[in-house]
Amino acid sequence: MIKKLADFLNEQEKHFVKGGKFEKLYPLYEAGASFLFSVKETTQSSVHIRDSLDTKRFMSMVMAALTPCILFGIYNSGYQAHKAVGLSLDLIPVLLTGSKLVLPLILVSYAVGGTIELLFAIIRKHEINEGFLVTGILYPLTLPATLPLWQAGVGIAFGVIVGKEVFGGSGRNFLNPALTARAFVFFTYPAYISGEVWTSILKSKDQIVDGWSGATALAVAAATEAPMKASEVLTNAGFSLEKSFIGLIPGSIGETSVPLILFGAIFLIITGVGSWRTMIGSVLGATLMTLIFNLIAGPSSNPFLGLSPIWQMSIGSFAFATVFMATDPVSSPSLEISRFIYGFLIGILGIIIRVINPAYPEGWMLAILLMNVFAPLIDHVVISMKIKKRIPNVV
Amino acid sequence: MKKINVKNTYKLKIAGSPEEKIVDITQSEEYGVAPSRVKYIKPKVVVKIGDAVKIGSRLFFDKKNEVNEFLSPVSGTIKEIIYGDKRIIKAIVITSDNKDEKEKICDPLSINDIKEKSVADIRSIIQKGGLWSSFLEYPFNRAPDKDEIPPSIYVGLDNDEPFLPESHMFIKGHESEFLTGLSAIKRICKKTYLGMSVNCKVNDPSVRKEATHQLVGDYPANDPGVLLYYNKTSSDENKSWGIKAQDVIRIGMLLESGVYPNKRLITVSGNILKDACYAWVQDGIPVEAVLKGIDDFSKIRIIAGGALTGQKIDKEDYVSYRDFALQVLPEGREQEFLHFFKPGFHRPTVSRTYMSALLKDKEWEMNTSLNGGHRACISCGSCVAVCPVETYPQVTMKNLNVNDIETAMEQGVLDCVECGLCTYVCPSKIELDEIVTNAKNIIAKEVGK
Repeated sequence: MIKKLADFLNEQEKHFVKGGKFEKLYPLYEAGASFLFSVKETTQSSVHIRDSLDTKRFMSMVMAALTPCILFGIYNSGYQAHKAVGLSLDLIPVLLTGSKLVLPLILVSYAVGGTIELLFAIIRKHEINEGFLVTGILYPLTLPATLPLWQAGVGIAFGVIVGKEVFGGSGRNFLNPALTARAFVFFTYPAYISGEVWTSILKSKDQIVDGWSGATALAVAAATEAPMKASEVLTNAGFSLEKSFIGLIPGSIGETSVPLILFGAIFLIITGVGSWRTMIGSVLGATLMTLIFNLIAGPSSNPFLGLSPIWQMSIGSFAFATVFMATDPVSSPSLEISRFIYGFLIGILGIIIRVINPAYPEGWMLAILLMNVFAPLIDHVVISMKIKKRIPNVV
Repeated sequence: MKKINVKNTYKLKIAGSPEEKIVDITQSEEYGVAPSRVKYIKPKVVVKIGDAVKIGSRLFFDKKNEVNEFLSPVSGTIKEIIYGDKRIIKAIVITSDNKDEKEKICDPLSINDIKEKSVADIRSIIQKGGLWSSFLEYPFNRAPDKDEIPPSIYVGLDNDEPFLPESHMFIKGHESEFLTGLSAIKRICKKTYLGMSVNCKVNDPSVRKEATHQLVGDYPANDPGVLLYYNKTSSDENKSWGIKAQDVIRIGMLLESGVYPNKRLITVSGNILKDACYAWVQDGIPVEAVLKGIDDFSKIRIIAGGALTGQKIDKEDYVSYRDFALQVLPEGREQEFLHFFKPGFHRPTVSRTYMSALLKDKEWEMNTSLNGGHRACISCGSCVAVCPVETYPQVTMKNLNVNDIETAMEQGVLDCVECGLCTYVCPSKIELDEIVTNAKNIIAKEVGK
């Protein structure tokens, strides 16, 4: 059966190669055929043998690391929606609601972004790069479950075109396309992606249960006024440290559960697909900046400054951004040392934006996008320093 | 002896290594040499069809570098000169007369004689003896010019690329030739360095004591170019020469006997061969005469040289001047269903993305499959992690894509020893070695090499 399918696909290849009827659709054929079967292409000359790792495997490792977050995101979206209006919190109905909320976003992201990828692949006459498999899922995971689908579609279109294709496509983009897409939505439709948008209200507003507030932990922390302590206010508002860590709280679809993100981090580090230097750098940077804030926090200053590192890392999207967004290899610097510096600066910047700047509820999207822009500079400086140690070999 | 830890090396574990036994394969009616398979030369043939040649008669030389001569491995008559596209000379075919008549190149010399010979004499003997191309002048890996004086010569004793002959196999019984060759090389330049692997199995103390450096690391730690990179103290040494131990033995044979050494020890290997072993072969023997017992040549690839850096050849080709290994690999055209979803216990990888990473000591049955499609560089950093001379292939590749050769040189593109590991590991299947080698050739052309 599988053999027949392979033969069938190989049989069809002649229509898609040069001179065939559907020559232009070769990227589509290649994507489909190489998805189902490993390639039959061989090396042409030296180097005669090749490692088994290809970009498909590379990207599917990221997908595997993300799967728990996706599933939990679906569950949590349903859970929050049911909790807000007092519906049953049993597993099945919650999952059903969650799926109804999340899966359309994922589908729109893949459909719109994938079509644009295909178009550019046809125009540029190259194969479809697997990087989009990851972009297409990372982006919806950063959105609130209530975002209108058309906005999600416009966002991913912007992310793929401006974040990637105008600069030459995969491998040449200096911005993380998923974050570019999110930034676009954030600045274009701010009312739909900040404020009390994180929970889908299934019934009319007046049926909301008592004590429900649509705010996220970040909003609560930022709104705390001196001399209250941010951690106490958070705990009272239902965002105890434990709860924030586990993740059954309102927030972007995929960002809330720290343990599952940690699982992803460990998986990425073990397989070597995600850079542990970026992750460690970001954790160190965030810790350092938080400690500095803790030091300068006085009784009358912004209580958010006094929030301890462990709190800062459990609320908001710090973990998700560090593990899945900052480690995107294309928009990161390319050398290991630069990746550490890059992660470290992301950690510092993210906390500064989150705590100090009242205009932005969360800092990681902007911190990572900004450091994406600086990544080539970091690489340049690191390489220049390393070159100085080389004995020059020039003619 | 200095110990050098070579960074970023990798042990290629491929099934099909040759057994440690030696057979003799010298009989054939026809022999041939292939000028087109010698890299970077413009061959000028000096024989015509019907000419009688002896072992050591001049067949062709490099027009760009006239001292770089190539001699006949057999005595007989020139049967045919085969031209290919663009009039490249594919082969000069010689019918053997089984007489083994030899052209005398010099009087037989002992180590003591060599000490008395002038440097110019020794150089001229090696040139006339057709072994000048054993030397590679860095950074462009070409045979040195006639009057080029090397700052130093680097000799690599061991081979670590699969499946080139292991040092203890080719040195055994040829210790004296090796030492003679080495003494001649020492006469040519003031500084000669001999690098030996820590795992070297050569027992002979007279050979071992010649080693100046001990190299720790897997492929390609024992490449003379790698030793140069780790040992050089100034940029003057960039133009050093490199030579492999088997070529040193051949120079020793030439000096000790005074005639062209027309036999060599090669490995014949590959998992699909029943009888993978070492073989003494006559230079120029047809590949078909060496690879016996293969029914279907359409599903295999024959490689002359190492599995990474070797040349792809046909069964009609001949064992050529630079070949010390013949290996056959299955052409990897088989397709696997949904391969990237599977644990991949049978998929060898440098990374840790397949379960095969857990099987540390397994030898893998490799084939020529690309194992993936051509994609854009995703800056994963795999290539940087396997560059023994600490360059940044992915960064350099991007500089070269926009023709920024200056920056590429600053980043060390000329230190590249062309080991091919970066291409081997690339998940986007980018031909990094080809891009770098092309750039080096452009630079070489500009400086007139």
